[in-house]
Amino acid sequence: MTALSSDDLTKLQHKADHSLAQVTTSRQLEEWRVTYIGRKGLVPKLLRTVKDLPAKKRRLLGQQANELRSRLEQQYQLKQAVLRRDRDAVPLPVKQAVPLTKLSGMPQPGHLHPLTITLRAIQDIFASLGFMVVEGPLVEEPEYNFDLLNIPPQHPTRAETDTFYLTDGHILRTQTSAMQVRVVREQQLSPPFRLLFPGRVFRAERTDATHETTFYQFEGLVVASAISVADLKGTIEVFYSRFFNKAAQVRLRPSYFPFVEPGYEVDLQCVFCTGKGCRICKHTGWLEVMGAGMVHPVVLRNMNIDPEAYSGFAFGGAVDRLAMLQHSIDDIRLFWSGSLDFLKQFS
Amino acid sequence: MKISYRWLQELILDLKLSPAEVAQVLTLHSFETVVGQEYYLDPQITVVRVEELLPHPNADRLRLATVTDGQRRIRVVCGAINIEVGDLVPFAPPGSTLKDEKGHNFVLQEAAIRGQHSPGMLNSLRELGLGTAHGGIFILPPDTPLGTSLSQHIPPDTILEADITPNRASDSSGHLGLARELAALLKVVVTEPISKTLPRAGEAATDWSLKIENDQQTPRYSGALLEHTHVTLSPLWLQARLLHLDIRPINNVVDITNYVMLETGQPTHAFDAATLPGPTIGVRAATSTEKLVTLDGVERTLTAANLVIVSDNQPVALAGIMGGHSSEVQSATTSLWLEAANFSPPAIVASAAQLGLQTAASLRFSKGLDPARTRLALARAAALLQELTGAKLTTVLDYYPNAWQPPPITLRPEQVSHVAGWTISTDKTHEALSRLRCTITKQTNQWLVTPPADRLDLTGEHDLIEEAIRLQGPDSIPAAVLPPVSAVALPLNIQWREAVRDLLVKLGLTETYNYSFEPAALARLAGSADQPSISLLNPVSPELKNLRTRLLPSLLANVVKNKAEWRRQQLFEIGIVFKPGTGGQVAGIIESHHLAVVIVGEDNAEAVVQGIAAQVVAMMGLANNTPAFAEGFIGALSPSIRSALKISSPLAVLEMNLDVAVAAATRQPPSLQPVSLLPPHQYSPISKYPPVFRDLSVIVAPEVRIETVQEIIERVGKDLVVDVDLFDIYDAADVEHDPQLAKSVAFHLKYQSLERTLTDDEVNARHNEIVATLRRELAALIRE
Repeated sequence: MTALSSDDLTKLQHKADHSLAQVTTSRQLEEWRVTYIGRKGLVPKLLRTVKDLPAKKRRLLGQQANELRSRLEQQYQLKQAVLRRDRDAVPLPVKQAVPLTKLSGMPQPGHLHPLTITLRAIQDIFASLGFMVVEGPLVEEPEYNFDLLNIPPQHPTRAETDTFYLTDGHILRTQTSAMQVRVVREQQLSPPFRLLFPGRVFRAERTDATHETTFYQFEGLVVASAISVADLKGTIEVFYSRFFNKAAQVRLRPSYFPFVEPGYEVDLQCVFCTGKGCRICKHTGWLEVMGAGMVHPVVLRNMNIDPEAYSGFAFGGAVDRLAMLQHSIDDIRLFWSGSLDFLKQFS
Repeated sequence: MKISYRWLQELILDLKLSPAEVAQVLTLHSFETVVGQEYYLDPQITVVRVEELLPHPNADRLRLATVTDGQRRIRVVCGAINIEVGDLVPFAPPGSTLKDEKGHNFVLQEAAIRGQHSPGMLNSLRELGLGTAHGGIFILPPDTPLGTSLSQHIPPDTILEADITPNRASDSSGHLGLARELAALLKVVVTEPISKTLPRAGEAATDWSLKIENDQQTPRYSGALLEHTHVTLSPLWLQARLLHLDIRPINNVVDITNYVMLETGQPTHAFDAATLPGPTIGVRAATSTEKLVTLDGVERTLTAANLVIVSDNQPVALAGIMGGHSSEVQSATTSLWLEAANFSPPAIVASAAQLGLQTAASLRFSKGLDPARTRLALARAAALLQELTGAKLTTVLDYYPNAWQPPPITLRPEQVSHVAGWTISTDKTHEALSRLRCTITKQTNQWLVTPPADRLDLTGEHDLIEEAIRLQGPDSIPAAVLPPVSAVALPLNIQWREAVRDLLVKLGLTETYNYSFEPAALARLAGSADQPSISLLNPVSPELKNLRTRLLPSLLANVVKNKAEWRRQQLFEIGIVFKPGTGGQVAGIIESHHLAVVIVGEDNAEAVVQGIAAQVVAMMGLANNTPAFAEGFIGALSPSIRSALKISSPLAVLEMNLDVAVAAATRQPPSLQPVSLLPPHQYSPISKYPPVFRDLSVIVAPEVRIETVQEIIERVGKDLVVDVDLFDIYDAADVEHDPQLAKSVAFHLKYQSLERTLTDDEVNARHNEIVATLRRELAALIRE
């Protein structure tokens, strides 16, 4: 037998999930239990092979296999309850009119999610700078997310390994930049305008301490006559100065995003060590905080704006990244953990 | 991409910057570059020859190797089986610094191995820090001078790692291109490697011919036939260069093709010409009946998505990705078919994706290379093959039906300053573009600028403006401030959502965020799985394939997750749900903001959610039967669901459509709490160790503030009490209207350590200390 790998576990999990979805009767459920988690089932069998693995793999795979077992057991119990519910036909949560009873109230205030706190600060600062805040759909047309942003058809970000596709051909937006052309077209905006698009975005990628399938971005778009790179730099500095409540210094480095040209990576001088170098900035003195650039003429034309008459800049950063910096959070997945140990720390 | 600093030094003789300074210059002007690995061989490591190999008397797998450096003979124990008498190998005497399996330095000690004294050792590549290969001793080319220090032949190098942006892949995926970039930034010159120009294609009489199917997929194919090749180990300088760039040396022919790719960016491939089915070389789409065993020994099933190199119409290589096994160059090979071709990015992207195979070559073709350089790379490879393998060039063929020239671009030079918002003189722009190898023709008011062929990214005026700014360093542009305008109010729906959040937090609820993916098992349990939903084609897992139609299932997942440690949970979420339907911003999909609340652990949970709903209704000025509740529910969760979740205490839920509520609101949203300017709370890591809970019921004088009680608990509890949850207050003075009556409060204390599992004794001791302090400082009565 070949050595057990994480892939085998994933495959087994998919197989189990898939066959559980087909189960509609108690008898089928019992068969499923015997096949997967019964004493002689596939998962216990697999667990027994873990001990033969080299020590390094044993710990990891043993842990993964145990997690798989408890997950499947939990699913089994839920399914059992579902079948029982279907049989008992117990009604769902009661629907009724709202009686205006006096609420006694909880004795202590609760907690806002840290991303709410950060998003609020971002929105407040930009609204005060004359930016109109606009939200948009999470399910997006590939046209707005890619094509109209000058992203070529074979661009790697379009791959299924980066983008979530729906069965109907729509996608989950991968960037708030999708809002640029959508909003200007829908609201028939003509320059000058300053817009801010905050919101949830999605990436079909493996999660780790710094990567999530789901996170929040904020995107700024300013178009007027004679807008320049200098204006971009100044606006970003004003934002970070207010956000961190201390004079911020930013640095623009050449980068590439198809919808801006010139395109820049924005580094913020580390607000914790003032550029001297510390653990948070990995001793570089700089924090990579957003992508930015001058709106590409093709994108301006897609907004029905004449690039000869007007110019603009756009920038986009991750809200999660700022919240992590603000609160010294070391794992992006905590935002999505639903863990009260985490959530109760913020207010 | 990995860059050898030493190679850059050879190409730019005036390079005065250190590796770190080069990285900094490239980062600020071109692409992010960091200093990576440093290679340095201990000069004590010497070239020796194996004189004698004897079995180890006490171990079957070891041998006693006698080696000489030309002066003295040394006998060491050796475990490798790949050496033979006469081989030249590296020898490290005791006291030399080598690398262990983790890449850490260690100093070699004299040792006895199974009873045999071993003063030093023969080294593998891994021990020399030149890679991970540990299969045997590193055998050196036969002409390496005996007794010399190995570091003379493999000098130190520092590797830079550049994150080359996709637009710059065409010119910067080889050392020559990178040197040109760096030279333009530093205002110095590049010493271009010179290779003899190739004879004109087809000049010599030949029976070899090209048959290319599609000039879109294969804009150019340059090939050459070389005879009398002597295949052997590459000279050490060439091996060192590859090893430092993480490429394993194979033999001189393969190494030269890799070297030329690293130098020019253009992938090349050498076939053993004698093993090719015939002298007609072609490029065409594969068919679904064809298979090919590639160089890595894997049999690949082909489809029409794969572009293949054929010989007499039989597939012999995957175009632009990997060579074929049957025509691999081996030690007996004497004639070579050398290929340097240009393939279009879509053709290679599709082929590589179909096979799930990415190589250094496919990555370069996928991003796009200019067709001009195939012939330069062919000439360079042919020159090195002639020099290092003794090969004789006999034939050159070149398919290039549509010779490509970069079209000139019109530039209005004053635009550079307009875009930058900072004055960059036209002289400076002219100088910058010239340094980037553009040819400039000045006309009245505008210039005609022709970029070099390898700058495929320069196609319009804005590209040239970017280059002119880039060479000045965008970092030097001063910040300007936009003209002030008046503040804009947030949209009403955002204001309302924030107001609802503030209200719920004031009422004691904690906000949670969940994925937009619906947890299938819980959705089915809570009945939302019956709703029509929208599915993902590539979900994270089958369990999360639908977009959520309600928030409740995710909130129940939170409750289940927390239930072991939190008896009382008051959670809410405001988030977007998805339904198929018309009228949304995107065709076929309606997105709405919902609010959901879950209360668990209160005896009167149902009354609490009813009350919460009532507060929301009152704040927004909604009717009691507002349609905002039509898609939701308020009330106790059905007992069978609760028991499935193994929750014994009452659990009540609320879900409503906030967009509908906002539309129906008859009031204005209250103004938001201003953003706090206090330093943000610093997150403390969550313990892996189990918590211990204790309740504490305290009766204090009416004038004692609850905060004071809590402060004492937190102060005395310090490192062990991680949460103080006030769950009951009976303010008798307030209720009974008698200011003399005492106040009764109850707390739920969570004890937990970041470092260890707490013992009962430890918790009791601290709890008693808290009790004692409350008694002493507040004269509190404690209910036991």
